[in-house]
Amino acid sequence: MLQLMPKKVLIVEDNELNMKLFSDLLDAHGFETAQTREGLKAISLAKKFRPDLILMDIQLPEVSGLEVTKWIKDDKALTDIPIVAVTAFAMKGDEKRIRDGGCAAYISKPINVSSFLATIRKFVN
Amino acid sequence: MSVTGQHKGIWIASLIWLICLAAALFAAGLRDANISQLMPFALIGAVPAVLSVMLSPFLRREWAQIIVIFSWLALAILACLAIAFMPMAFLFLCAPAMAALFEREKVIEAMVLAAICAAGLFYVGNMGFQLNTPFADALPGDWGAKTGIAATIGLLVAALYGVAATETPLSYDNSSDGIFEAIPGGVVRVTSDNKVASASSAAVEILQLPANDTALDVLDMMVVDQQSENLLHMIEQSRQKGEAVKQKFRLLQPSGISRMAEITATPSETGEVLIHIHDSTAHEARVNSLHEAFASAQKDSDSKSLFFAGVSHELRTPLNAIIGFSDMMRSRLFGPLPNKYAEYAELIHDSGQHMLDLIGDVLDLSKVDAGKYELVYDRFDVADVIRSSVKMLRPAADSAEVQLDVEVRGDAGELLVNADRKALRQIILNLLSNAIKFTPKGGRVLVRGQIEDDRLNVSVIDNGSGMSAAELKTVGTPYTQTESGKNNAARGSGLGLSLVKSLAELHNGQFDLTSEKGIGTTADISIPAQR
Repeated sequence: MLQLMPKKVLIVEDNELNMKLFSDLLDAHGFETAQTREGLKAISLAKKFRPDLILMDIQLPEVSGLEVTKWIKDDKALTDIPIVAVTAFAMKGDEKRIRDGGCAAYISKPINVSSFLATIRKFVN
Repeated sequence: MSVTGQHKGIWIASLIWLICLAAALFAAGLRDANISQLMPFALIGAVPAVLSVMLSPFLRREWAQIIVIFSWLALAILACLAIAFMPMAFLFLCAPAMAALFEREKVIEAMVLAAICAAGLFYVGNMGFQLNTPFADALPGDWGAKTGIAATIGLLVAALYGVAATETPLSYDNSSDGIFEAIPGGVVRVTSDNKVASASSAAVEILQLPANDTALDVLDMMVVDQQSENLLHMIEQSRQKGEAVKQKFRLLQPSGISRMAEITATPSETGEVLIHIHDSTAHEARVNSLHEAFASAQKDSDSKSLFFAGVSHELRTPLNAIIGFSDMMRSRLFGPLPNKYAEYAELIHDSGQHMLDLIGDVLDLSKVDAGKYELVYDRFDVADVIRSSVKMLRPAADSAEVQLDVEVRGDAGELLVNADRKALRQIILNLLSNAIKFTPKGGRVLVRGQIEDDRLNVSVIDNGSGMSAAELKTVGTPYTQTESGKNNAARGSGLGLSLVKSLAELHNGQFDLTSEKGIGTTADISIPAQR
């Protein structure tokens, strides 16, 4: 897949291995990635990096991914960036809660590589 | 006890009669009648009334009543014979009037008796047998008749008044204290001025009352003064409300032991209050221990399901890396992989997936156990679910070289039910993967679905290793697996079937497993097709 401008994805994820998995996977498929482990840094990084999509872990140590999503959606400069939530919290009602929180899609851990990529591609374009 | 309403009525009525007699004697004396001649009649006439007055304290006894009533009847007969016959027939009414002061049944008997006597005397007189009595000539009939009529009317009025005023009699006598001894728990009788009138021996024991102290005040009844005040308050409350008041007390005894007691104060119309003390120490202790056991069981159950939810989350995070990286390797994202390694990557990925399924089962089972698994009812076609489950497990069956067949018996190939789609899918998937797992190469697994008598029946039949009767018994118990399961070296935690059983039961259905060693196993679930 030849692209003049690689699509940019910001990954917000606190688990090191998962972060490596997501970034390796996206790098291998021609995406440009930026990473942060802290939800609080996501906003400033998003302003600098201007990603086409944000991959947001919901269970972050300091502030919940849902909270960070709310801040991003409230920020005029960032509100148009689609956010895809990733969570291991696959409880009943979670999906609705996450979608209501402003996320465009929801991927549950553990991921399935092909459907993960399909979801990302759907929202960067 | 004092004379009650009924007794008073008899007493007053008799007094009226006596006063009338005295007044007649007096009036006759003023008119210059011969008092000494009238005296015997007056005395005879006074006998029943005097009897009534004397017997009134004992009048609730049958014999006293009969004596009084018959003495009035005798007087009436005597008067009719002695005094100008007809005018005094009125006197017969005295017997029923007196009876009315006792009980109604007796009035009817007395009336009948009086009527028979009056009628008998009347006919005897009419037939010409005018009875000659020794007093017939001697009496100034006029006076006798008038006195008799006046006194009879007085008696009747008193009787009517007495009966009308009679309320439900309520009386205690000292003998009832004997009854208290037969009542479980202690009984104390408190007078209207709040003194202890009597106490049963059980009450003496529970309250540690000084024996036979009749002058004991309610305020000294309890060891703790505050409780005595509470008790007094209860007593007054029960009097005010006119109904029983109940309260729990922790009674402190001089020995230092405290006992739980349920105290009931029941008022009476006389102002007395009966106190019933029920020793509930053992009962309270039992209730408390049950409460504690329940609370700790609840806590255990809650913390267990919380634990499983937490564990499930913690396990999924590393599984994401295991499944994700192995998935990247087997899809050769960064170039070719030597054959063996490719196979290992495949195995890692499969094991990860399997572990994920197990975590799901554990979580679901813990939810069912904790009663937190909620079914979401929905109308759908089970045939669809069967077909998609088969499609999903087809690769596994193929690689195990097991033939997988579907048989749906329904209208136009549909099996419409009202059930939880996700749960039903899980049931079918678990049964199918189990059957494939335990069927050797070249075997066959058949899944059959049908609706019969408004019940959905799904059977999964295999011709695999089967189980003995003893092994069958342990099936459906989490974390146990049959010997043959172990020998097969196939994966299985026993979770799958317990979950199937639980989910079927949640649908008010049942799960049955029949098996024969070496021939195969049939798993049947049956649930109501409609909710």
